Amino acid sequence: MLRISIKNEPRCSTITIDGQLAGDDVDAVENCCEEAATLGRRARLFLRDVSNIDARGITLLRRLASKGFELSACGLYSSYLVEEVRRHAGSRTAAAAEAQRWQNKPSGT
Amino acid sequence: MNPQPATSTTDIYEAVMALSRFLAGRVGPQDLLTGVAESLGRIIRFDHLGFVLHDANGGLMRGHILNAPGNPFIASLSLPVDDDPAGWVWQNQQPLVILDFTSQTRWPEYRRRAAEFQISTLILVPLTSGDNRLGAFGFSSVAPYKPSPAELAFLERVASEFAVAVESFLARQKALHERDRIRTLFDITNALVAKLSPNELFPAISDQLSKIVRHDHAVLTLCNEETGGLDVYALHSADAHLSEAVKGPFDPTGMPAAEVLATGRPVVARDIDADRYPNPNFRRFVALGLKSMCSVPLIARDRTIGTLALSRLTEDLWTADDIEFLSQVANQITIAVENALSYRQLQELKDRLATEKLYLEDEIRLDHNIGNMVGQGPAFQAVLQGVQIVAPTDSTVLILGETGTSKELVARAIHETSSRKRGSFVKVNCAAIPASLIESELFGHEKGAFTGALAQKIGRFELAHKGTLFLDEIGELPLELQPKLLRAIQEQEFERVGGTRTIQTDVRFIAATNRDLKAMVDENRFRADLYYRLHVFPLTVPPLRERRDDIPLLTRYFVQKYASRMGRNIDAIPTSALDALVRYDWPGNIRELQNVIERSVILTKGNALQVAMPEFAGSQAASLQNRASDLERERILKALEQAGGIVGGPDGAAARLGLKRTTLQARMRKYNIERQFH
Repeated sequence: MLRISIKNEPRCSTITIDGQLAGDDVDAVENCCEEAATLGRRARLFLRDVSNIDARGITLLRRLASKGFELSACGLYSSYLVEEVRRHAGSRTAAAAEAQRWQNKPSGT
Repeated sequence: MNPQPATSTTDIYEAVMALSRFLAGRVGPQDLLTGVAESLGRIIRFDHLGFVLHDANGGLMRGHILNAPGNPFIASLSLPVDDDPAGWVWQNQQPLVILDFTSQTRWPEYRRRAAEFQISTLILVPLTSGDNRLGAFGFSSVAPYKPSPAELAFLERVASEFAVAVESFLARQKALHERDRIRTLFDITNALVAKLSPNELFPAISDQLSKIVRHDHAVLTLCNEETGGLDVYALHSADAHLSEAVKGPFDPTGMPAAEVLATGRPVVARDIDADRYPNPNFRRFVALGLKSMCSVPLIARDRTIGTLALSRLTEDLWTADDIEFLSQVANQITIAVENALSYRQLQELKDRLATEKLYLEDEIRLDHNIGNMVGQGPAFQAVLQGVQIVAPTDSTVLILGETGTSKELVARAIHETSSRKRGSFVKVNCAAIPASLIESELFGHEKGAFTGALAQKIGRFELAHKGTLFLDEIGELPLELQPKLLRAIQEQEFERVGGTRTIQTDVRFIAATNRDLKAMVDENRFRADLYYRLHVFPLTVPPLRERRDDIPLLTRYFVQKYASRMGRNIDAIPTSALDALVRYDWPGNIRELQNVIERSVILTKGNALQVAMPEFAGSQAASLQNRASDLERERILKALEQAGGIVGGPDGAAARLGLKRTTLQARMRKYNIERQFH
């Protein structure tokens, strides 16, 4: 079971989900997020009352984080997973920036 | 035109012979009359020739008249028997000769029509074949004409020849009519049986009815057992107002439909029957212009399930033929309606079952956290990897692990990830079912297979067809049942208890146990052949103490689950509590952790989780603490001995232990060592 609520504001689109971020429901969430992304506003995904997040759900969260989605959650477990995803995305971004910095360095320095 | 006819005997015989030859093989009233006109014209002078047939439906005389000059055919003259001279001839079976029509006082309507054609003479003879009185045959002329007795005899002779031809024509007509009706009935049956949904069936009934019986309005009513009234379905209507007038449920009391339902026989009603049918709806229909109505019952297995009513805006009579045919059509409609209603009921039940199944599967998924295999540590990741590898295959899986390690969750994950996920996941706990009943539970039984087998029972094997059968606690399966299980797994076939029929299934097997099956095989408590059949792809789920790094994540998961369920707002777990949970050995594995967290959430006051550790955890920790203290005391004593009792200095016991002198002195006090050395 999954419920998706979308709130479009002038500067931000917020997608709120309740239920389970698991199985085939993950595709429905991803479709909504992609649609929100096309609006060109800030996009947020809020896991309000999510009881279950499976491996597909976590992969989606990682993908969305890498695309710049703001992730937030309610509940100890969901918040912890979202935090993990953000940390993962942050470390990847930092690693990419570092690699870029090394590539841009003049040779011999 | 009245040519002078020849009247010699030869002429008469020749004319009769010619007529006989002509009539043979002729069909159709016009065809017949044309031939008769030619034969008769040689003998008798006339302007109009015709025959009038008695129509039993409605008591009419229907005329088929030929206007001699140019032979235009008139076939639309119909008068009641008593208003037509032909009716008199038909009734009395005697010739009728009217020389001067203007002097007649009888048959005023006929006289009026005769005057239009300026007829003065009418001569009619009975048209009878054997005992079959068909009507009358004769001619009329504008000029007064008195036939001779020979001419009259000739006319009667021609009439008897002609009667045979007409009788043959009528028989043929009847046969054709019967054929058409059977064909129509067949078409109706074909058109209706294919329609299983009422939404398709009702328009199809309407289409077919329009082809067979002229009507302006048709309704189908079906008895509603809940309301006791009738549900009305408008099939066809020439007028939108009429359609609106008869929609939805209605009380049939005082309507022709009530009479049909009470008697189970067709009822014909007319607009003038308002006193007989006091229901206001009947007056409404009359006010909307309906003149006549024929309502027939829909009878299914001696029970009237509704009515079919056709109405007309004209006063045309509903003939016995119409009613009989309509009743036959109603029988076909009844079968189709019953099928459609049964089909609708089946569809509704099927949809409800499908919805219930989805709901229950969802409940199970929520309860068992399907799809949410919480754990990031390497030990558990290895299990997940195994699940991913084996799930798409149809191989038997044996899940091993201590009690409470979520073996069932692993089994459900395999099912959910496999191609059988649309099928059922059926679980059998071999330890929970009495040994005497487990065979019946697994394979089902036939009615009367044993005392108490009051009805046939479908076993779990059959229920799991196209799905997965999970045999939990397989180590507890009685030894005598193991060969039958082995056969079911290998051959995918079995017989119900008390049954002789072999049932084929398509089931994937997953078994689980916390017992050492290999040891059981060695002790002859488990069959070796079954063990090796199950041991195709063993998956060992690690105990919680071997995946301590997953405990914080699992704890967060269970806290969120129970806090949400109990409406608590817990947003923090103290590090000390988390450490205590990680340190504990969890002999009951995840089930125990889950219970501890549930209890803790219940007991927590505030936003931080207050962990209620298991009762024996404290004593366990104390014993560990005592052991650590003993070890430390021994180490200090050993260092003091090696240092010759000196505590401080570079060769002192404190330096040997890597401690400050003051710290060592404090610990010596704690372990009561100082006193011994002094």
